[in-house]
Amino acid sequence: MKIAIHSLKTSWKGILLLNLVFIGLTAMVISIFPTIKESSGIQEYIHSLPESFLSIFGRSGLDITMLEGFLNMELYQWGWVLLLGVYFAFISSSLISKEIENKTIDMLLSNPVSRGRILLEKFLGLVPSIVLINITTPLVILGCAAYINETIDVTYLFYTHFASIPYLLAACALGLLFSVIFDEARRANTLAIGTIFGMYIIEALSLLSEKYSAIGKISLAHYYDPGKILIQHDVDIMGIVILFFITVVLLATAVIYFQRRDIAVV
Amino acid sequence: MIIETENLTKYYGKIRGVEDLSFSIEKGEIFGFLGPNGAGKTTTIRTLLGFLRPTRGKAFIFGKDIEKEMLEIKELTGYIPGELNLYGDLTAKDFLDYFGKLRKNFDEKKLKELLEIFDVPLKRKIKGYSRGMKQKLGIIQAFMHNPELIIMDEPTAGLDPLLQGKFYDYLREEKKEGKTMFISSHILTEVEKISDRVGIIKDGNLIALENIEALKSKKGKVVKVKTKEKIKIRGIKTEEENGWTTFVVTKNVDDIIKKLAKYSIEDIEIGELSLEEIFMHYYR
Repeated sequence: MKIAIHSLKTSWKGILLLNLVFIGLTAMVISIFPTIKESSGIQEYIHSLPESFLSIFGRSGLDITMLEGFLNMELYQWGWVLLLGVYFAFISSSLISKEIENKTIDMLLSNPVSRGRILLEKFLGLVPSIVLINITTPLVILGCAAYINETIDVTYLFYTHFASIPYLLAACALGLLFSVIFDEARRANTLAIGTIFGMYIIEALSLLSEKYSAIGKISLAHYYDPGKILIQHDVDIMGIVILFFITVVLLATAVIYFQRRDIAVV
Repeated sequence: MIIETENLTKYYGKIRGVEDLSFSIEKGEIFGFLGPNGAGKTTTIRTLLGFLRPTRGKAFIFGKDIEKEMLEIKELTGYIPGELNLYGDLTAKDFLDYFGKLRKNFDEKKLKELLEIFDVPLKRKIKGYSRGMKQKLGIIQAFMHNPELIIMDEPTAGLDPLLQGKFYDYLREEKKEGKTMFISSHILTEVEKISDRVGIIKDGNLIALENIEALKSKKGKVVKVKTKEKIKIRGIKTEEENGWTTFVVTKNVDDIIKKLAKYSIEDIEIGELSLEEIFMHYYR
């Protein structure tokens, strides 16, 4: 576990910053909710927006006069599914590629540790940050909601966050796969960000018409819909299982690829 | 045998790295691995350490197969890479702590001893280190788990002469304890100071395995002399350019100088044979 602990130690500043950003963002979103709720005609305005926009940001619930609906649209769909997905894929896509690019991998590999272990420990080093952001944010939501005299279903708020963990783990595993393939961190980063973003768009497109509905299945975002849990109280167990399965497959592929590849002097 | 290779070959796609290397290194030996830049020294080392997968051939370290038992090998091995890249954001102390924890045989006493010889500012971040300091830290981490074998890729690059001396003294001490060392270099004088035996690699092929004494006997002088007349000395191949005659003297300097005395010499330069010239002269 030494590599995981080391990895965590060197990234605590980023984790702290991420949490502060989301605490601030959440507090801000909730603080404007009372105004939105009171303002008349906002719901008509929402429905007048282009459908493509709504399918991206308002999956599974467009009623923003409800706190759950508002959070879904203003925080979860883009903040969790897109932003955090991109963030964790980005971070993980640097984990090995940066060591190869900076050539510190030579030093690391001169220790009696297998490549598989390095990879898995680096992955494990990300888990606490994923869990932490899923603790701080709902706590801030509950605190702020109480402050503005709103209620939110604690159980489904918990499920919303709990179900995001396998989604974010899958994003990490995807990033890690890119990070063992490329020698330059930047290329791995770009591809990781691009893939998460692309999959988000694909999922949105698939919701626009029946014709496209099948293509959503290739998107990680398809298997995690915070709105569905938070608003409709419908937890997609199968989605969670699929995300875990994808994570395992991606990790295994990354381990095998990493074990077989040459670490050449560039 | 500590290291044994059988036709060890590495190709990068179609580009040759090293070809059919077969050699062995005994316990307690300091083996110099000599060759010009680009000859395949680093490729050999990286293959032995498992960074590169051999294209064909076999290698054993401590009798263990490098393709199957790398972790056991690394428990007992230290490594100083040619291009030393350490974690810049860490302090030396954090770096040594981190690596110490990754090694079962980490030896606190040994680390203390090393830090006395190769003192580095432990609390400073490594990115603020000079090249020499980094190199010292590279040496410290390679020895701090008391390894049986230490593989070094051009370890003295970046060390000033004083430190080089200290480093060689340290290697000699380690040798007394039965440690085996593999040192690559492109500088003959560096390797000959310390090695017992030398392997010479050129264009990816091992072209000679020599005792250091045998290699030393292959030393010589390059003589460049400017004369009015054409120089002809029996048994010596000369090259001429702009009135300068160049040739290599490998024995009997006295004889040559006496023969040269017959000519009217305008200018003369006498220098040590460089490694490249030794290659050209002896191993063509």
